[in-house]
Amino acid sequence: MGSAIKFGSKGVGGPKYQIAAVALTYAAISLAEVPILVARAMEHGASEIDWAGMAPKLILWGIASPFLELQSGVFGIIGLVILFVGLRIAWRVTAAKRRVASA
Amino acid sequence: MIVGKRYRVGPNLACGSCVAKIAARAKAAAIAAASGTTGTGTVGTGPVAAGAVGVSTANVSTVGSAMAGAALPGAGAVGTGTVGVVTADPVQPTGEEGSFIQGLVLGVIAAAVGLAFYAAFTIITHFYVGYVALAVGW
Repeated sequence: MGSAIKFGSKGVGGPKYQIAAVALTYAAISLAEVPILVARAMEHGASEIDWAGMAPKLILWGIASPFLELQSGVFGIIGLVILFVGLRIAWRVTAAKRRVASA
Repeated sequence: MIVGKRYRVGPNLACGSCVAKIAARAKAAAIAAASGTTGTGTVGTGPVAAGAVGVSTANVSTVGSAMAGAALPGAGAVGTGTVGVVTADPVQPTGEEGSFIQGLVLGVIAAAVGLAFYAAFTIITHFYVGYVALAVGW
């Protein structure tokens, strides 16, 4: 994510690039839970559910899913820590380059 | 685009006799005003540049063409005004804005690819790996 934004901006970085990278990274990781949930539901025979009608609720659930997994105990905490590290990577990759002043 | 440059506006120098005529008319107007008589034909005849006074977003050549041959009242002010401040066009996006939009578009595409990759990997393997978040962030 961070590399893609950095590549698209031709190497330019800064706060707005960092915020965009973090937001998109969080959205990608958290919303990935939605198709996983749908696939699991389909495996368990829930084929008659109107997924399209539930799309808004599913999206909201997906965005909140990293924090909802805290209910599962330690695994939820570990997942949240990994997510935070991933967001930090995106933040660092899209940071503005520091200029080194020569003496 | 030249920004913030000032241009002096003078009389139509192509006509040398015009300057002398204007000066003579202005002098006559001043004498007439001082003596309480009406100075006919002494006001509003000078070939002063018009239409370009103030701030303009046009380029230099456009300002110059707008100045030529126009007339303003007030012959006494011929050649003394400082007008035609040229500024950059605010509608044009800067390079940084353009690169931000490009970066954002590429980031959205990367987010969609990362989401699909993460979801497909988990669905196919039934193996829930949170570390994929690191790869997506990178």
